[in-house]
Amino acid sequence: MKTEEAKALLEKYYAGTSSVEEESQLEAYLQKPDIPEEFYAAREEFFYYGKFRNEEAPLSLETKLLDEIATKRKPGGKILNWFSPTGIAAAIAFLVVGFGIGRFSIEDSKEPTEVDALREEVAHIKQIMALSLLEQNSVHDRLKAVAMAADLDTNQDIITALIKTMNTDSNVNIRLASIEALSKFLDQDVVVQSMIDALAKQQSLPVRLELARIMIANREKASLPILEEIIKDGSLDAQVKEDITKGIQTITTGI
Amino acid sequence: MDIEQFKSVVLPLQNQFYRYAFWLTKDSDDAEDLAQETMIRMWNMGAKLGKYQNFLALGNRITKNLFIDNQRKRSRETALADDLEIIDNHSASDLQLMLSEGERTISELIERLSPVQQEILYLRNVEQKSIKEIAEIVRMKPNTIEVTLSRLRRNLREQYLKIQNYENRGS
Repeated sequence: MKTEEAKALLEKYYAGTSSVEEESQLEAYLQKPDIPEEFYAAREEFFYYGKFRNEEAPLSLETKLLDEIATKRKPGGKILNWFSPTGIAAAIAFLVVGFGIGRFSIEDSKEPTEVDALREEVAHIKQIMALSLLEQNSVHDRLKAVAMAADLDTNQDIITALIKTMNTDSNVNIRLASIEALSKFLDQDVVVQSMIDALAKQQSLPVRLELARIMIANREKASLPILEEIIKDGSLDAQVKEDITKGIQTITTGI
Repeated sequence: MDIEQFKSVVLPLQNQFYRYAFWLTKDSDDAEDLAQETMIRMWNMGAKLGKYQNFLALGNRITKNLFIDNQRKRSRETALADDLEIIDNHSASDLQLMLSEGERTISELIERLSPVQQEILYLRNVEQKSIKEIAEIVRMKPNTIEVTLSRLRRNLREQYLKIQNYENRGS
């Protein structure tokens, strides 16, 4: 293209009336080494846009996306329907404000009843949030929920939700986290029993080992038959087998 | 919308979502996260998604909003980090490493524009969309797009030259 033609295109470009094709022609002209100075600004502009035009999504994008969608949990209990992400955000904001007020009141006021009521309310909101977060699709949200649940006082709804998560969550890390959270409630028979059941049913080795560790630490006699079953597994790591065998002895002898 | 429909209408747009995310974040990892989050949001819309005519427009809107939210969050965190006197070891983004000095000037000038102005420049100059397509995506009149493009291009040139002149005088 001749410089004169390019100048005419440049003018159209700045007037906002050039077509996509004309802009491509202009871009081709700008690649030339010796162009007049009046093209310099446009050249830097076009070169900048060009940096983006060749960018393509990495292959991992599609894989990760489809993986995330595949592990998507079905919308479950009513709580999820009540609590949209906006609702959760509002609850968090409320919680933060609540804590702020709570702390303030503890420092400045001498009316324990109000503080107690507020604290109770915060705990209640926290519980609802934890329960609703457990139903979310994102692994991050569910992990957060388990951590939040672990901080709450003993509460049947939370325990039931954690047991369900331990048994059914698709993500091993979340199952492990829920086991850790549940281990705080070992004084409850239902928790111990559910762990023993899980020990028998879970397929994932890290999950089973974590459960076995807790059973041994807690000297749960009822877990003995399953622990003995586990060490029969020929593929088990020698060290793990030794640890569990010792654990069985500890439970049996009480020493 | 079931997964097969999603794969046939949304997934083919992934490169465009990724490019727009890269245009905004200027970092390949951040762009990948942002593009993924955009498509997950679309998938989570379920049956509602099927009511939309223009998935690209919808996705771009989600991308832009997520990006603005993230930026707000980040600026709050940065402010907090400054308060706590945490040393900022922010490294150059992927894009900055690819740019010449002149291109960096353009990049900085574009960053000063409003989100919609930036989007219009992006749709035209990176995605090479027609005026009509741009108008549909950003929901403005075609005529407005033409006028905006002209004004943005002239302003970019003017400011670029001002900075160049200033730097030349200084050297």
